[in-house]
Amino acid sequence: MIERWVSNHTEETIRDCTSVLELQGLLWESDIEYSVIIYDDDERQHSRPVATGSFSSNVIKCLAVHPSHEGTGLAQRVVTLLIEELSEKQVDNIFVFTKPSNIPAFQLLGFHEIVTADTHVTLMEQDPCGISRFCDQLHAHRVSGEHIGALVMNCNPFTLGHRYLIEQASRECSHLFILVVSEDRSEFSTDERLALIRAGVSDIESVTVLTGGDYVISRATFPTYFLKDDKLVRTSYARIDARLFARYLAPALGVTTRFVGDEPFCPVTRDYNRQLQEVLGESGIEVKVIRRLEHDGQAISASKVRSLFAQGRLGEITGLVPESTYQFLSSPAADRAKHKILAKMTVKEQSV
Amino acid sequence: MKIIKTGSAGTLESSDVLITVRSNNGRGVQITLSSTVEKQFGKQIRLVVLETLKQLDVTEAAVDIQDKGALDCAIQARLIAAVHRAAGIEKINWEEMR
Amino acid sequence: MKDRLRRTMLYVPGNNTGIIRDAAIYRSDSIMIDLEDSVSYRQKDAARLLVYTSLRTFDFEGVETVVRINGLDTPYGREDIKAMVRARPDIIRLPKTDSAHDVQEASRLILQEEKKNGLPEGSIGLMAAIESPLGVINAYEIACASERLVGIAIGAEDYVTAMKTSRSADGVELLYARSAVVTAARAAGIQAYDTVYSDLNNEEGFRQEVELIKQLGFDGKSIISPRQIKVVHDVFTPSAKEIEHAQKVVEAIDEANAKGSGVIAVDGKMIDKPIVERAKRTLEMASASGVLSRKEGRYHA
Repeated sequence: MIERWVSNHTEETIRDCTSVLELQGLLWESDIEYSVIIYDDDERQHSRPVATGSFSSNVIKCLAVHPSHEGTGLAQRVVTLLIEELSEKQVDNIFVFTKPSNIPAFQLLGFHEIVTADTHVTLMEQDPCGISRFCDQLHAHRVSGEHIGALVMNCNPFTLGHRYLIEQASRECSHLFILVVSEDRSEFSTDERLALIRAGVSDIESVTVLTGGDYVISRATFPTYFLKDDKLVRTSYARIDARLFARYLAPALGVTTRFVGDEPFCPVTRDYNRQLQEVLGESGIEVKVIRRLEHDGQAISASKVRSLFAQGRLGEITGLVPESTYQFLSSPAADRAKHKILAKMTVKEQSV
Repeated sequence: MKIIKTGSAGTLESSDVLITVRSNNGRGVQITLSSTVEKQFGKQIRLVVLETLKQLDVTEAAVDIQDKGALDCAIQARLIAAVHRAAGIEKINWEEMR
Repeated sequence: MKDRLRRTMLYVPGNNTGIIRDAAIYRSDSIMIDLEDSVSYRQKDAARLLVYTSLRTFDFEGVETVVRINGLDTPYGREDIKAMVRARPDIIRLPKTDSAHDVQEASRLILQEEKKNGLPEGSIGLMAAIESPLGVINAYEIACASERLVGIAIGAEDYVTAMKTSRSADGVELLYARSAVVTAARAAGIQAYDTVYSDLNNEEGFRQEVELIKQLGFDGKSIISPRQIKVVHDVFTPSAKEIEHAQKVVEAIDEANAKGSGVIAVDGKMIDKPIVERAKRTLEMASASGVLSRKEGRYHA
């Protein structure tokens, strides 16, 4: 057996990984930072990959072993190497996506099950108190009331469309919790987005803005959400995020209703909403879809705002964002985000 | 010593132990142990860990131990390393070591 | 400490609990616990602690303990000395020694720590590994650099790379380096140790190398696996014939001394001091190898 550690993938190494992943019905994910590949070197001429595992940030995923080598401890070996590499990075917690049948093996490696979706995917974490500690933190914000709502938002940046959603939702419950996606993969950083949201709802009563941490549409719970991989959203991931919300987060906050904006643009989000309705329905949590605000006959899109902002067309943004957001976008503090947006845009997009 | 971030040391190899030390949000010392020799040595392992934490003057920490049959000296070594990493302290005070 | 038998020095990676714990079982003459090349830089702190607690806990049952620290030109070397002196291995081994200064600096730091810890000065010995062309050239001054130094070693991997060549079966590329190191060691009155042999599947090749370095005069060799111990001890064990001759020599000298007579001969050859020394060494080696036992000051088969 030859073990190979890859921190800079090439076409060849990706091919080696996918050759094993395919056999287990798994797909490559483009945000993978590091992989372990084990080759069977019995045939001297041509060593073939028989086991692989990877991680992105602190999430272990894309684990697969060739059917001919199942049950030989290769999965454990791969994961042990990944854990050692991650331990060296001194991360706070390690997550793993794996098949439910692997739960016992991972428990031996120090992982604890958080939630399982159908028969396909399980999410586990290394910190024995990770999810419970997060729920305790949420619990501290509980309020009394008959209808407690929750809205999960990214807000990249905070627009009038977001404001509208919040207004509508808060009208239908006695208290609304806004859970902000905390991944720093959006062009506007988590801190920036949080600040804009807080400023944008400061006048609305009975609203609490909280960060979602590792457990709300994070790369741990919903890795493909942020990926522009040209594949269909994996239903299983969406269900993991939904189930986690239903089992842990909603009870901690006492949520009775989950609000979502209807999604005209993004198929990823549309599908996610669908999963949400199914899974939350099973737990007796209502899911209410709110129609998005229209401006000039179109729903307000945060990506349009980003594009205009990056091109310096601030005048065209005034009808799309609240004053607080506009102030920020016109200030030098927003330059960092502007550069990030420009870096991501293609030439074609820039001229639109 | 104050725990300010997550620190871990050791491996999951046989005879070794992987110890992860995290902040416990001011709720004292909490130990979670998973050991291949839990029945025979679980108590002993916890004692060693508590004793060592005391020597390091650590009063608040969540210590997770994945033990694969490590001896006391390995547990101590890994714990001391993890605690220092979690406290962000690079220099070990050798004079105060047992 | 200086004359201790060091035929085999078993290399033990310093971050591996299981291997450290079991190292003494194999009964090599010494074990060398490594904090340097076998430990990734991210684990230097953890390994240092593991070796520290292991040395202070385990009974190595008479096997000599050597710790290879990181060079003093790295961020780790000084901290290694602080911890290791306190842990009290028998010897601290310096890697990549290029000059006498390297040795003196290390010895000075060790002395500082010995004092701080209330240890007798000189209680911890020093070994220096020469791993570069410059080190080879400076071998004699290195060998004379400190009273603490019990021996110098040649480390082939780095040396051969710096020489812009590669290792070969017959080791011709190491001829000069080996000769220089062993000569320097002898001139300075200390021991010389040879480098590791990595091909565990080539027992014949290994034996040939061990025979070569024994013939060159080396006192011992670093080994990377317990499997290599027997071969080295065999090669370094005197033959029955050598033992017999040595016994004759020693007996003849004892007799001559008792009678107060001067020059003597054994098997038609004059016995002078070097021959007596060699004979004694042969018997010691034989005793250490277990083929001879020492009773009442005399050697018995």
